[in-house]
Amino acid sequence: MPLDIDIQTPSPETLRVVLGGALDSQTSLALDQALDAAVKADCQLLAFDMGNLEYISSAGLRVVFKNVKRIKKNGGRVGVSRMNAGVRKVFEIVQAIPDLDIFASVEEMDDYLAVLHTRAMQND
Amino acid sequence: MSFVILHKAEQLDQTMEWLQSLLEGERVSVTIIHDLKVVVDELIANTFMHGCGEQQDGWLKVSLERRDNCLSLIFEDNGEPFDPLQQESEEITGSLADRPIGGLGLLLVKSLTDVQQYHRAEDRNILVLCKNLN
Repeated sequence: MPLDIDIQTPSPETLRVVLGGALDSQTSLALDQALDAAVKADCQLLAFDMGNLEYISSAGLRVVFKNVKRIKKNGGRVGVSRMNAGVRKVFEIVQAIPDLDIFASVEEMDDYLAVLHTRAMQND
Repeated sequence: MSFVILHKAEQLDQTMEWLQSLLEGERVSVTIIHDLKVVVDELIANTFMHGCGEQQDGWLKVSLERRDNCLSLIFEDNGEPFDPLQQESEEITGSLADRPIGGLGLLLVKSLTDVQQYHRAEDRNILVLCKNLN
């Protein structure tokens, strides 16, 4: 199953990554390369929408974690919304949930993005 | 019992289609289908990275068998002796920022299945993974 990747920049310091399909040993390289190109040094929030992601294996986790490390090193945050039960279970097994901001819906994540963006504007 | 034979890791997609179709026929839950797809991806990637990947004529046979409420996935390959269950798992304590990002495949395989057994027979690696459906 292919991996659908849609990367959006709702504000200069925010990246939203909408994933669909399978994030596995055959598709993770495509996401790795897409994020290497898209994640800039000033990125403060990386928000994954996993609503259409069917499953994720360790190859996919490796790419997500690599970017969690990159963003957190700069004091940023990583959000994940709409994980299905199986995907959430995988994140729980590897004890990654405490490092992520988890959102039940895209709306909840968008509200959060808006607050962060407003704060960033006020700080400028 | 139904099976597929792979000669390279890129045959993952057709293996997943085979698995999906069989599991839907067995009327198992979406979550169990998810768990077993993760397991199959881990083992295919692992097999062709170690042992089998080096050989011209390397193959991996993946079989699925149901007995009562237990589904067994059987992985059999003709690679060098290799017991994936003996691989070192990474420590996963602490935050993601402070730990290695790899080495999680075996942890997922062990966590998403209920019984794991490896043995070597007739120059083949044989790994049996059982998932309880209860």
